[in-house]
Amino acid sequence: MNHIQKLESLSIYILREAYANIKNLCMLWSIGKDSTVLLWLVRKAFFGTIPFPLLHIDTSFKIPDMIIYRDFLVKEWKLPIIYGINQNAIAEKKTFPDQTLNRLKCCDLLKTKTLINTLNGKWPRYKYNHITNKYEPDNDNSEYTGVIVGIRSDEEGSRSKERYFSQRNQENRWEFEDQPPEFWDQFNVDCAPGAHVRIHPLLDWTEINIWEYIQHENIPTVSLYYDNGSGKRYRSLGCYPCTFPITSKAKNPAEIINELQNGQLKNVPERSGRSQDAEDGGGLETLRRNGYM
Amino acid sequence: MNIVITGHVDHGKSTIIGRILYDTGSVSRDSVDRIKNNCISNSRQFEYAYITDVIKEEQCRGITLDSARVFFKTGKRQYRIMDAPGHTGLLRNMVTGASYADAAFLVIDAAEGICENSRRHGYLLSMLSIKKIAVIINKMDLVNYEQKAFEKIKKEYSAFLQTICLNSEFIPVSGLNGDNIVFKSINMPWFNGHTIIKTLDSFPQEHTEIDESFRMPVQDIYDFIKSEYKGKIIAGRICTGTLNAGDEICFYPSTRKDIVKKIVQFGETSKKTAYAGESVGLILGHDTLAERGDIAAKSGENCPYSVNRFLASIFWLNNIPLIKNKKYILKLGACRVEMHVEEICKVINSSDLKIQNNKGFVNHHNVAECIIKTNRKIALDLSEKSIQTGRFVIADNFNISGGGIVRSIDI
Repeated sequence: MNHIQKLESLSIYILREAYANIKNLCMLWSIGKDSTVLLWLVRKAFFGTIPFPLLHIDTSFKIPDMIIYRDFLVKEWKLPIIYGINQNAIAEKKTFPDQTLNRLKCCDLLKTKTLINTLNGKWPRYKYNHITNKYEPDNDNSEYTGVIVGIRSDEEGSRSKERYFSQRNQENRWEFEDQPPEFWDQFNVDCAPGAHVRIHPLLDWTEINIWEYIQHENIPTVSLYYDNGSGKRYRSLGCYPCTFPITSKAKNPAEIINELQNGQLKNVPERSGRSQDAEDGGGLETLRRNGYM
Repeated sequence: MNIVITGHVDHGKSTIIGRILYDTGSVSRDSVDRIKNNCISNSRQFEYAYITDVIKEEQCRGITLDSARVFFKTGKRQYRIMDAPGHTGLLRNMVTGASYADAAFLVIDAAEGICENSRRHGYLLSMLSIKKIAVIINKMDLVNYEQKAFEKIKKEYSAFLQTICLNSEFIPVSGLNGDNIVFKSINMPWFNGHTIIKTLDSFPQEHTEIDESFRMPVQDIYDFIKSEYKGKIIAGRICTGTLNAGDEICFYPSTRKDIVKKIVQFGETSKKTAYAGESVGLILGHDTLAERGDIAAKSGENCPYSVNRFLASIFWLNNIPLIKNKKYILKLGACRVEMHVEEICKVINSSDLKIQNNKGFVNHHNVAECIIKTNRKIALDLSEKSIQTGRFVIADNFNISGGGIVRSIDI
């Protein structure tokens, strides 16, 4: 087995352990390359079936092509999907784009708070109906006790402290200094009532591994990652007011891999186009401790 | 290849990693100059350990953290080094990091000698089944590069390693001056062995299992409604051995048998043969009832045992001691079963190796031999025969709290 095959096999193993052990499971799908690779791995792990819902946290500020691509794949692959949104904050214009909040506070309201309240079922969820081809209010408001997330340990510092199965306490906080050990591919699948487990099947993958896999498996990815002639493309995707394209002429996964290995991106951080990370001297670690993905 | 560097706190793990990165050219001279200038302006002495910190920062995108994964390349292959914490309080993180390593270095300070965690980490490496180990005697510059100092520690530590059935090379180095790290030392002409890098490159890549009989713990049985596959799919990852379509397999502990009709992976045509490490699905000829937690073996090969009582060596990582007769959860492969410790035969203090008999509990950081009783029969192997199906973890109150290896079933 080569390195990518080993990574794939371990990720599938982790996904199957999550499904076998956790009663009410869902998977975050941000539409980005990592969680789309994860979605591909879920199809492999369960032989074409997606046995739990995908959850998308919509901020209403996602780059429009992302939502078009999301709904295209939802139909194409008959994906079970729900989304959650912070309608109050958007209606009351409590957002960074409305210039009433800074970026971190905006992330906290539109993403972290929405994630927490969508997982616990306190806020409305919207589910895609494959007959009407529309999102409709979801009657099921049961709490998700496990959520699969496509983070990688090489993305940024705090993510390298995660385990494959990381517990979040009742307040949704992550006590990373006090995590139980995890070894021999045995995971901490149980948690106290009210707490939940986050599952990270892609922890050992690097950005290059992700692109190598996309290339090898021919996984459909959103076109924003590729230069369409403008000489610009996105390396990391998010909300349009806080995410900026990079100058690059890479038009396909092979060219992206080359750019990462030998070209202009060799030593440039992946999330350098994501503005919220720069705030508060390490914004993402602060966000993540409080429940951000 | 994943390498873990272990050893007592302040014995120079980070300095050695810094030296490796510097001498293999894994860090730019500019970065090192920047650190050196920074040290001069702060009236601090430059240390190679600072390189590790800077690399961490660079690799971890400029946020302060305690990540301990750094990458470097030799002519032979790419390595990922994990710097395991040397503090006793962080032993659970050391175990988490080390459990994914293919090989380990254990660092001992030449001047200070063998300390509490030198032995403890050695003990845990042996229990984690990491066989590729090299002992680095660091800070040889502090003992004037004398062979006598090196031999004294080597003799004492070798004797210890023998008690836990480990063999190791010993390498005298100076992290500070770079002796025997990437370049052969001119200060120790008496040493004929390899440098650290040469030793690393000499480790064989693959684990060599003693027994290559087929083992696959059953993770799940899928029968999805809209599946394109007809019949139930037995899902699992192969630990050891190979499996061919048409083979007869047997599930333990039930000993039910069936023929493998197809080996499937989604999106690919059926496979003729599946190998160790692969996550696969099996479609059986007669849809025999298997359960999550069973271990599948091949008819005609060595089979696992089906027992509810066995002797194990365990290590305990929870602050709340392991006690006799309390209910715990044992997890081995995909099996999860209630258990209790029937007898604690002996407790070994993992740092000073003192043995205590007739104790009713095992404190954290200690190692013990005990008889484990599960509330139903489970399938397992002796760890000396089959590592992956011969080891288990013990969970207490939602958390993994210890690990163990199966020593004997004849008790």
